[in-house]
Amino acid sequence: MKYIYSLMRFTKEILKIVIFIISILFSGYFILGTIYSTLFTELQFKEQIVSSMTNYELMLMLFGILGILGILGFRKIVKPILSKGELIIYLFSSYFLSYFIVKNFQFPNRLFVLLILLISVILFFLLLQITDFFYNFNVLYLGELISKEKIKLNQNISKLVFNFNNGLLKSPIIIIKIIFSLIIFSSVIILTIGLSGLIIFKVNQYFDYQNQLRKSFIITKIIPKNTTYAQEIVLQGYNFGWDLNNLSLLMTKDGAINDIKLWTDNEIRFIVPLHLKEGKSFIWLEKPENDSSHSAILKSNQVLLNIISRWEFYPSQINYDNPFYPIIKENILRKIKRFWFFKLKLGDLLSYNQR
Amino acid sequence: MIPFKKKLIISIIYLVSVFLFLRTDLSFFKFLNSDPSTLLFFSILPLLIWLANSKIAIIGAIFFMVLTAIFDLSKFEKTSENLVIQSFFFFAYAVIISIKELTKER
Repeated sequence: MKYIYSLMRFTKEILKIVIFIISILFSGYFILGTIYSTLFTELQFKEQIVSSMTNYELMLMLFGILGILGILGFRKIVKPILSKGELIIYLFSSYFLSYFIVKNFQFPNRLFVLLILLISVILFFLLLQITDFFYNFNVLYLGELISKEKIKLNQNISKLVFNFNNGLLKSPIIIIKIIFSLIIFSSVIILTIGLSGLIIFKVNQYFDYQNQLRKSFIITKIIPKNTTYAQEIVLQGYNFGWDLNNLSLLMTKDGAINDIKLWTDNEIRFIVPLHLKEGKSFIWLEKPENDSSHSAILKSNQVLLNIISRWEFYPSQINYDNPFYPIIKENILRKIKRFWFFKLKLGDLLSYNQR
Repeated sequence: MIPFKKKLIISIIYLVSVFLFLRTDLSFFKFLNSDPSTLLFFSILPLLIWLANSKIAIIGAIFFMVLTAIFDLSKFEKTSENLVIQSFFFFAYAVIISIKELTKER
């Protein structure tokens, strides 16, 4: 039990050091990268990783680091005895972080202020905790621990040797203990090395994939997937080009879509036209390879759009004429659906099967 | 008196949060939306006020000015423009802070 306890302490200390190094390296890289790329615009700087990460990925990473730091650094609740300047800095940074987090989740607009307030209060105390963790962090503590344990191990080994020398192996329990602890210790080390290697490999692969995506003509996302006529749809992706000469087209099987509100290099907003058929239809982009009129036409990938009948959301005339119009069950259901799909914009959460 | 290590940690946390914020939305700094270099200075401004010292600001300004000269000589015009904006703001800040310090002394 004692061995396991000490091993747990070891792993906790190792984890602390790993998180400490990762967070320091990442934050330093991020800060220097941003300052460098804003000031020295003409000097090419390989900040591929930071620039290729989307805000969402950055936020997930931030969540991970903040969470682990919060758990590891938690010893006792830090009392906020702060000077005026410190307080202002903490408030600013917690507000900025909470804004970043809330903005990147697609929360409904009504809860925006409330969520920012809530998250910034939580983050304020978490940041206090984290500064306490970094401030009181002692790298040499692990060395002390190892040296203490070493002495114990040496004593055990000397006992063992002594017993062997006497030709009497009185206590095999010591051998079992030593072997057991060695196995656990080596397996922990192998696991940590293997896991961290795997994570680094996967992250690298993911960044390569993301960089590849950024270079190709591709639609990555359609929001929302399930919708009805005359609603706005957002297409996100890369290299759509700037539609200056109206040569680029947004195509479906039923013809081109003309009611386009916004066309930028990585976002298109359009209104679902009435000439599309109900049900599933594919959407893709077509653009000429260059400006000449005889150039080849490039096609992007196809994304699926599910158009639901408008009677699923709005009442029909017969329903409308009914004197009990507001309290009919169907109409209430429709109202809830409208709220869910068009106000909260959470229609994609349900896997909507069409009748 | 706050120890240096703690100051460093807090400023790193602040910088990370402000740069993350700058990636999402600029509504907070909408009044200076045009120029990234100005934006950078104003986003770091609370930190500067917290670590307020006229000496540091003047050293920063001179540092940026020297860099400006070097980059201007080697014809990186956009970069030198950015740097000269920084040095101007740092000088202005240093002057304001030094006036404040002088009035406090009296």
